[in-house]
Amino acid sequence: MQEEELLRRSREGDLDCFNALVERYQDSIYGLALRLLGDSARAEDAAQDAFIAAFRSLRSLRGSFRPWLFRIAVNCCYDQLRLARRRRETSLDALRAEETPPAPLRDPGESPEDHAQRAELEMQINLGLSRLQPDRRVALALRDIQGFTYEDIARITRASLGTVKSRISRGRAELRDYLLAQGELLPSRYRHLSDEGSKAASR
Amino acid sequence: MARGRDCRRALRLVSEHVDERLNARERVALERHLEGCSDCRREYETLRFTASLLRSLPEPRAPRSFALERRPMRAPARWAWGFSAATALTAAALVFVFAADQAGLGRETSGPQPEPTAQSVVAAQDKSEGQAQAFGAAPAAEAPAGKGGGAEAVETPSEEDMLAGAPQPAGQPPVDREQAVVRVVVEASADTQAAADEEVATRMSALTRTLKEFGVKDEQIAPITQGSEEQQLTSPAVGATAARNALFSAVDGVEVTLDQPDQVGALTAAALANGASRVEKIAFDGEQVLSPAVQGGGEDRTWPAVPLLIGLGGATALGSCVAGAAFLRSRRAVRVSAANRPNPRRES
Repeated sequence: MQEEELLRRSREGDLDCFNALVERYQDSIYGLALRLLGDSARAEDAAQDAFIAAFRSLRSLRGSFRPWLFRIAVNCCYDQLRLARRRRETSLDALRAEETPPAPLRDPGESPEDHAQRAELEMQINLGLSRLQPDRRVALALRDIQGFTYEDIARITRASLGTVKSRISRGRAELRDYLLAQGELLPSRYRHLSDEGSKAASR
Repeated sequence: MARGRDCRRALRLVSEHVDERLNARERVALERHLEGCSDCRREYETLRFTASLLRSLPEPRAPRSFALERRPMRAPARWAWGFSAATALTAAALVFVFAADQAGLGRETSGPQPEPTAQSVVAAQDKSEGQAQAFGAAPAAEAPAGKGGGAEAVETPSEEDMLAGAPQPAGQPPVDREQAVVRVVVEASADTQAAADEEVATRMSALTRTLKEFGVKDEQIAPITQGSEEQQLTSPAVGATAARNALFSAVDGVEVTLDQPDQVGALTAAALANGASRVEKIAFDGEQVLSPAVQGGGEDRTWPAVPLLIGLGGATALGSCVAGAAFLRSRRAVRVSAANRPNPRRES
């Protein structure tokens, strides 16, 4: 069934149709929450809250569903963030290694060494993300992980286009600086980038 | 320096260049600069690689399904609505009753009381013994005898009755005797069976002792014992007045503990009725035997519980209305919750 049809029926209160939409989006919503919160339990809570809130406010939906749903999810993540800070438990700035999401399964053709390196890299990226200011982290995750346009991100985060550009640019640069500082953990090609840049310049 | 300015402009654009958002003119100018500037090129390449790392991250699977299920409407819903309404009505009735009481409705003292208390019955039956009058507080002698229902037990005494043996001391503001007497009859008549003079004397000494225990000074208690022996014994109203003076001048509020419940109850009640500002509590063996509702008669008597109760009633009524409205709203709203199913797409 097409998304439009599912939405129309969901608006009329058809929970099965809405659950079909939930199934389509739950991985990406949970994934975003996990990258933003760095804690699987909080990410679950945020994702569940987002779908409940979305179903309750379906009537207010104007325009396309995906950015609207992500806007709700981002708000739920901010709620979880505030909750975490109030409880003074873990915060986004202190992501613990054991809470890092489990490494992906090994591809059939992947060697154990490659797999270990990939898992290590993912952990470093998560740690680097956790050190960004929340607004920059949100913008960067929406752009580079979820692939939203700058305009959509501006709508989702209710920020100006200029602010979105700045957040993405600074967020990327800070994450890059963090990863470069962990140089030895990174794939060799990452470390050689500066050499390539030098070669290109000398050509 | 021209190159520094170019670099600053280039660095502002490299991130957008990663996302291919530059227009043709900007892109051409930037690419030309990157060809000749290794620092800016490194900046661009590392940003682009960072973005590609993020894009290559595998999407985590949701650990469970976030599907929703309709929450069953619970049966007690209708019951809850009825309860809300009933609470609101009760609260409104409470407000009305206390507001009416505060406004003085139903305070007539000469009319029959439809629901006589057991205490008022006692007062009626004991009128012939003159105890109430002897205590200078509740001369129920005019009440018809033998009326078990005590419908007219609480009859307004004449001014002479009121003042007999109970002279109003100078400097004391006049009190509303009509109301005071009514209250004393109702509340203190449990003691009117005490007839003997020695009983009166016992009461006097008990009162004195009690007042001392509560820190009332001797000179303030003295008026109780200053009258002639005969006067004390036969006209306890003197004692009542004195007790009033002692209470009123010594302490604003006093908690009186009795050895026996009927020892000084009448005197204390009389003191209250004659203008003692208030008695916090009169207790026997820790059990309250005189309620604060007996607080001294007088037009300016204050009963802080009344506005409190009115406020409480109002708040309850308001709360019930809000609860009712929320309840009605919740019936219209869709109630869903997490179904807590496994994620069908999650690989095990």
